[in-house]
Amino acid sequence: MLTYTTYSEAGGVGKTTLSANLARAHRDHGHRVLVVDLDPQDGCLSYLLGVDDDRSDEDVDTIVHHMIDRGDDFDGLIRTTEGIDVVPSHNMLERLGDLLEKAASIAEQTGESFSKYGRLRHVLAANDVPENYDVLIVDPPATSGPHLYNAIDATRSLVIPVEPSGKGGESIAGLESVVAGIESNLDIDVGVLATVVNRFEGTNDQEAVLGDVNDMPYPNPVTLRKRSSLFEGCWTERCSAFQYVEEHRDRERDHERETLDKLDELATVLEERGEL
Amino acid sequence: MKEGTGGDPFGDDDPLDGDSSGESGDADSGGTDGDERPVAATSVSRETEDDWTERDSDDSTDNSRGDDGLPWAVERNSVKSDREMVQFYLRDFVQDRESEFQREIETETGYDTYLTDVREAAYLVAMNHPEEVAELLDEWGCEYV
Repeated sequence: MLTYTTYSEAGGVGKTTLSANLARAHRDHGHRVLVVDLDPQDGCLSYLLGVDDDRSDEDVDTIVHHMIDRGDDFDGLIRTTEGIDVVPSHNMLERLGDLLEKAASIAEQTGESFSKYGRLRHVLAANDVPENYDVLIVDPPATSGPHLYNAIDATRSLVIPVEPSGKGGESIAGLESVVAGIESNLDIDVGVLATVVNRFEGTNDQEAVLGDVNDMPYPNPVTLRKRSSLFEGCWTERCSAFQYVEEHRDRERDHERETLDKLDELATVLEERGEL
Repeated sequence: MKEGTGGDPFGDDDPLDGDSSGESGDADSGGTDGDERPVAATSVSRETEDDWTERDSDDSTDNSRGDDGLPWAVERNSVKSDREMVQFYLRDFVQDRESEFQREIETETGYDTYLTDVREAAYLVAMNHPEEVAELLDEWGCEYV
């Protein structure tokens, strides 16, 4: 099974767009894909894919309920779009940290162990996700905390989009220290499947950052150019870039085809790394 | 952080190990505080426990007594210790009967029980009566599906 968390310390680098499109590419390669959206913010992946309409409904079952042992049927959480299964975001994710603390406190009082940061992995394993899917992608918010820790614990591998600016390089360095802390605290081994320079426009400064990223000891298989109208179109129509080009463009544009091909290539590289 | 894949999140180590089992929150609500665990049950339960667990498998983890010679239920840290979560789907009337059943068992034993213990014990008892289980499956028409 291929499992990864898409993560960048810097916001606005196209992390969510990348997750959604990689999910679609894996699915187009014939794999069964589950995406878990742990980002409570508006503009999250399940918004992009049009499956977040229950996010403010207080009566629905959510991934948070499952993570504190109060869940209903796991399959009932799943929404399918473009052939991708998604566990959508919900406003309750904003309270995930507090709720995990409370659940841990109750477990302690009843003499049971409770790993606050191992809850997502536990829920997925208990509901046969490794048996039923080939690819698991978790999309957490761009802040350190229980969402990120649970995502990394459940996947153990990262795909890191990098903004082609000085800030982008720094964010990788920051991530190194965050991940080192997680590895040590959770006693797990975390790997980087790929870094992906995104929104590249080819300026001299960006070329320099690209060089720095290429010098890092991580695979950097593709560089995605800035395609504002393509990705803005995805957010407007709430779909992947693949579907946007298929259904919302009257003709295929070469430069957009190139972007889709690169997403496809990146998905293939990740699948090879995950031995699919 | 290294290049390539990290550890396998669903690999060799049991993901349920050292964690709460993910059973529904009320699964153990019938139990008592840890302070009131039924230590006195030792001599009563020994023979029957061995009887059921010996049939089960050769796996030594099924032993009803640990290294200290104490019954397993006394020695364990929590009701979920050594147990792996298995999902059961039950119809409403079975869940209702389960509560009644647990009360009957508690009347019989004279002490409070964990529902998790009752369920596993009941399942093992049923395993000693496969013919009755088969009969009920027939009644449900399972042979036609």
